[in-house]
Order: sequence, then structure tokens, then C-alpha cells
Amino acid sequence: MLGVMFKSFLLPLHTAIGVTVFLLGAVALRAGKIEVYEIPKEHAGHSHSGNSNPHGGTSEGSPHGGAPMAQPSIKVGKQPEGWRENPTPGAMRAASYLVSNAEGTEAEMAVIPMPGMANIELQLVNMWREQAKLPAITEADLGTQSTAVTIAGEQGKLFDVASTEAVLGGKYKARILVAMLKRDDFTWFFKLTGEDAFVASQKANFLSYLKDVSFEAPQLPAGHPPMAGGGGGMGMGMGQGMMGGGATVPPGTGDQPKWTIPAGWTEIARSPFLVGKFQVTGDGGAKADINVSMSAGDGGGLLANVNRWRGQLSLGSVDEAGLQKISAPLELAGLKATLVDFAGEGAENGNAMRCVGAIVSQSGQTWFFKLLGDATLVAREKEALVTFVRSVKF
Amino acid sequence: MSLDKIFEFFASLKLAVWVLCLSLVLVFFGTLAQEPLGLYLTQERFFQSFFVDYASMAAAVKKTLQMVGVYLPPSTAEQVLAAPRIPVFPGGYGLGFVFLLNLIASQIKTFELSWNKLALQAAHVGLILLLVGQLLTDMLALESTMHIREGQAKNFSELDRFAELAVVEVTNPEFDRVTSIPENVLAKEGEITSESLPFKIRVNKFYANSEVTNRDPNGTIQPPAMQGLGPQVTVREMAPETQMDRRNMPSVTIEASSADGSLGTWFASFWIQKPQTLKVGDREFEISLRPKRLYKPYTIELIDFRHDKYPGTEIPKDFSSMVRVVNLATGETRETRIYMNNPLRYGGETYYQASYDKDDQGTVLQVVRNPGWLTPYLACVVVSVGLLGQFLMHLVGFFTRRRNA
Repeated sequence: MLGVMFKSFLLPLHTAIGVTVFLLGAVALRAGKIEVYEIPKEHAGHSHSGNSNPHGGTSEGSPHGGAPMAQPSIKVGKQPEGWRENPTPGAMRAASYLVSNAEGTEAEMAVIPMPGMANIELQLVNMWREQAKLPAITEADLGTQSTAVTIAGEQGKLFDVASTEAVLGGKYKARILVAMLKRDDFTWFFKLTGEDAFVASQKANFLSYLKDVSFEAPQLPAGHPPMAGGGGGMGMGMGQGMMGGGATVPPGTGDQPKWTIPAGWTEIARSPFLVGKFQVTGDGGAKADINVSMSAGDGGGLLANVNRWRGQLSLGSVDEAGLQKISAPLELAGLKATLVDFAGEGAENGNAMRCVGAIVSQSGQTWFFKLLGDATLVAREKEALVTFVRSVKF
Repeated sequence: MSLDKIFEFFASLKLAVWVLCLSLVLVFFGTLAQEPLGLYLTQERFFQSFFVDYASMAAAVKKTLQMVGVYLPPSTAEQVLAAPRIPVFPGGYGLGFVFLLNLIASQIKTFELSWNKLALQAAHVGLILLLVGQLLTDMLALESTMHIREGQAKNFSELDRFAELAVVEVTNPEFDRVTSIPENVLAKEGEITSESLPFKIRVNKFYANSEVTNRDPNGTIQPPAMQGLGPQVTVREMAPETQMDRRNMPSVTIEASSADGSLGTWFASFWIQKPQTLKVGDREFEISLRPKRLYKPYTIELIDFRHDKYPGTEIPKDFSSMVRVVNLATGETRETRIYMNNPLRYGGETYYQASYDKDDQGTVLQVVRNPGWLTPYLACVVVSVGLLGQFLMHLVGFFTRRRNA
């Protein structure tokens, strides 16, 4: 009898459990309702490292998750009148501004620090000239293309490239003003682009901005050892371990994927922008370097990177069709990879040099493996590079 | 079919065996589907649904065949998202629900209020508790992240995969008033009103994933909005992200209007981190679209992040975050170290060491709030006690029979 009574009690009991579960479910769905609440005052500071964040706190930097990106930073003296911060400054920019006149004509000023970039001035000037639909110049003309300009108390170069035909939307002429300054491991570009006459009208503001800007000293955490190279450098922005000031990282430190180093390669100190650096020597003191680096996204694109490498071998830029001729797909389990191979000569001594590079895309990142040096030695080590790339456990 | 037969069906042991076998198959295909579909879509389609749809199951089957050497073109997440959801296999919720009914029905069927059956009943109750507990966890648990740089303190964590349109009134010098409009409300693209706002918001367009670029002022592309930063950008709708290391970048265009008429159209996006200011009379508001924030009544400061490696190797030995918890309401201040298997439990939340910045100067903590965290422990204790009791009763019975034989 008692059993039957208990049995009849069980059904409502379990029904009650079910109802409770669904009620709790409804509570969980409260997350989908508009909420109003009060919080203590909090405001973001004025940032020029490209990471300003709504209502304080840190941002996650990279738009697609992962660790935030580091950017060397600058300190702005006086922001010229009418200039406003660019809401979508884009990657690699330490600062970016927009300026427009009453008619809605707009120009953009971007501050871009780039690691390295030595010996490719001609390629850069020709790239800007190409944007302005102007013919390329030769090395002999390079000296006439720039004037001296003061950037943060140091002497840099100012390039003024103006188009002769309407290139903006087929309606307006364009002008590109670029101030360039090499500091330690970086080359800084201050680039004002837009409609010809409007950019010309902003030139005084641009020069005044360059004069007032300053480079922020590195902010090392307490107890951090001083960085090699010292001397100014760029401030620590957010994340990703990019250090300024010409610092080098001794071999065997920092995050590296697992790989098998080929025989004869020696791991050497690397700049903080590299994941790994090796050297190999050949007959008669011939040398070649192997650099491994990684960028988020496509790292600026295959073509742009290959052209940058070509600049290091005193070679001109190639277009997509030209790239096809010097590249081949690289078989790599499950990953998209490309192998490029081209020969040129050293910018300093005119020796025969060669570059073999492997570019691997994986999980939203692009890895660059570059073997560059004496042409004979590079030819000998090409197979070792491919084996090395295949050994990497990303 | 009479009610008795239905009851018998749900109370049968055969059904329990079927459910367990189907669960094995579901877990197998759900595991393989993660490769083409990614974790989150697989979770939703295989385990957090009553039925698995044809397209999702096809993706898993193709992957299975590929593993045994039969190559069929793999399905993509985009194809699966676009396909009609035709049910072909029971999903996680479906099997769990049937199993719950089975346990309840069998318990009702076999119930006897006697000492002999008590242990078995306890084991069943424990299993029911386990299932209900898991359902509670699934519905109520919240996982968010807190990213802190060294020397910085934070009082909120973020749900990285959920967006909110935050309209923050900054008029009061003492505090900010946040009106948080979640993305599922924005996605309905309707009119939104709140007593906290002196204006209505109409959502013109919500982009679950988007790409935002600078707009060429001389170009012909129309801006998404005319106020704030709207005229300076262009927006493009993108397919939803399914990769684990990428996330959607939502955007929204809204029109604000007060009793005096329209206040203009505004554009907010994950791509634009800076809030835009909207003034209505003498009240000032800041608008931004951001990962949904969960504010805490306390702050957590990162004192030091450590990334230790075994000497002479690159093999990580330990990641740890030395943090200081400051609760102004209780006057409590305490320092603690968070590291693997040693989370911080505070204020009903658990902070796990989850990730870190590559420069080793910032930490990412996973913040888990799970009100039902005790139920699995309780369920396991009840099941264990029940099974132990059942075993002991048999053992005692066995020895008694031997002694009497």
C-alpha cells in the first residue's frame, strides 16, 4: 500500500524536476535580454599604438582572436587642426589620421613602422610612382627624388610624388607625400595620400606634425634585463613580443615550433621579429642566412614579400605573372605552401646571390622561411631548406 | 497504442541499450565532424540539438570514409549552414531526453519500498541527477575570458563569441550607465526601446560577420551610416567563421530617433574599437559594438605573469599568473597564483589559466560560472553508494546462503 502511494508520488516529483529544469532554462535565456546596469567611471587613454579600447581595459588587438599585436609607438606632439583619428587604421600602423575639407575631399596620413627595409629605397619610390601612374625611375635618378626633412629632431627624407593624370576614381590627380626615417631595426614611414591639391594644402601641417612627433622609449617590465642595441627604439605596444631598440634574441629562446635543424646549419642570435635564424657556411667563406618569421593573416601578401626580397638582391619588382615564373607549389601535408627561387647580386658588393623562400599558410598565419646568400651555397642548401620546412610542426 | 504500452516502451531495458549504442555512434561521428565543421558548429549540430541534420551527418560520414581510404569531396561549414536541416539521427539532447524518460519510467515500474531495492533505486536516482545536472550545466554555465596585461586591473570578463551593442550614458560624473543590447536582439533588426534611453533604436542591418574598410570619399560606394564614423567606412557581409582560432567580426547599422525626430544613422562594429558619441539634449551617450561584458563587483589585477621552461629547453614547465583580487564592497584584498590545475575560485566563478600574450606580459584567464557544478559530484556519490549497497547486499546474501547450505 505504502509502495503504491509512493509510486503515485513519484510522477509529480519527476514532473516537478522537469518544470524546474525548464524554468532554469528560461533564466539562462535571460542573457538574450536588454540589460541596464551602472559601472564605475572608466575611460580609455589617448593611444597611438592602434589599440584604443572602448570604455577602458585592454583590447584583444588582432581582430580574429589570439594574442594582441605589438606595435612600436609614437608620441604625438600636436595633432594638426582638422586631422582626426582614423577609426579603421588598418594593420601595421602606429597611427593613422583622416583630414577632409568642406567639399568632402579626404586625405589619409598613416604612420607605419616596418622592420628592416634596408636597400630597397628605389623599389619603394617606384611603388609610389606606380600608384601615381608615373614611369619608374632608375638608381641614377633616386638622389633627385627626395629632400631633407626633420622628423622628431632627426634628419629623414621626404618624397613628394604627384600624378600627372587623374588616377583617383578617374576624376582627380593624386599626391603621395612620404617622410622616411631609419631608426635602429625599423624604417618609419609617414605617408600622406589623397587628392593632389588637397594634399599640397596639408603639407605645412604634415611637416609640423613630423617636427612635433617623438618616438616613445621602450617600456620594459620591472626586472627586465636591458635590451641589446639600446638607443631609443620603439615603445612596447600590446602583445606579441615585438621589441624595439635593435634588440636581438639569443638562439634557443622564445616560442618556436618544433623542427629538425639540418646538418651544417648553426642557430644564431635573431632579431625579435624572427622566430628563428640560422647560418650556413660554404667554401671560401661563403655564407647564407636562413630567416624564419611569422605574420598574422597573409603577412602583406606573397607578391609584396617576394618583391621585398628581390629588392635585397638588387632586383626589380615582379607582377603576378612574373611571380608565377619564379614560384612553384611546395608539397606540404595539408598546408598551402609556395616555393620561390631567384638570383641576383648583393647590394653592397655585387656578388652573385640567390634567394630561396618557402611561404606557408596555416591557421590564419603565414610563415616565411628565407634562405638568402651566396648563390652556389644557396643552390646546395635548397633541398635542406625544403626538408627543414617539412620538419616544422606548426 | 495504449498508454500502458507506451509506458512499457519507455521503461524497457532494451530502450536503454539502444540509447547507449546510439550515443556511442553519435560521439564517434560528432568527433570526426569537428575536422570539417569546427568545434562550435559540431557541438550545436550533434550534441546541443534533438536531431542531427543530414548535411552535418554527411560531413562526418565523408570524413570517416576518407579515413578508410575512400575519398569524397569534404563538406564545408558554409555548405552545412546553408543546407536545410533534415533530421537523420538523434542528437545529444534527443538521446539525453529519451534516456531520462527511460530512467524515470523504469524506476516507476520497478519501484518497491523495500530495503532490498533501495540501493538500486539510489543508483537510478544518481543517474537521473547526473543527466539533469549536465542539462543544468549546459543551460546555466557561462564561460568567458579575462585578458589582463601586467599592472592592469579589470572588473569584467568578455564572452568572445557574443556581441553587445553598448550604449553607455556618461553624463553622470559618478558612474556610467550601460544599456547592453545583445546580438540576438540586434539580429531581429527591429525597434528597440529602453527606459534608460531617451531615444529609440531601429536596427537597419545586423552583420553577424563583416569586413570593414576605409571608404574612398571620391568613390561611389554608399556609406553604411551618416553620423559618427559611418561616412568614413564601407562594410561587407562575410560568411560566418568556423575555425577555432578565428572569430566573427559583427557590425550593425542603427537609426536613433527621439520625440523630436531622427538623430541620424550610426554604424558600430567590432572593427571600430572607439566608442562614438551621441548627444541628446544635455545627455551624452557612447555607442560601441563589443564582445559582451560580464561585470564583477571586484577587480582582478595582474601583478606578474610567469612562463617557466625546463632548463636548456623550450619545453614549457609552467604558466602562472600572480593576481590581486580587490573587493571594495567587502574590503577584501588578497594575492594568489593561478596556474594549471590550481584555479582561483572567487565570487561564484572559477578563474583558470587559459592563455597568455606572446611577449609574456599579459595573461588570458578563462572565467567559468557554473551554478550546477556540485551536481555531478553529488550524483556520483549517490550512484556509488547505491552500487556499493547493491553489491554488499548480494555479497551478504551469498555468504548467508553458503553458510546455510
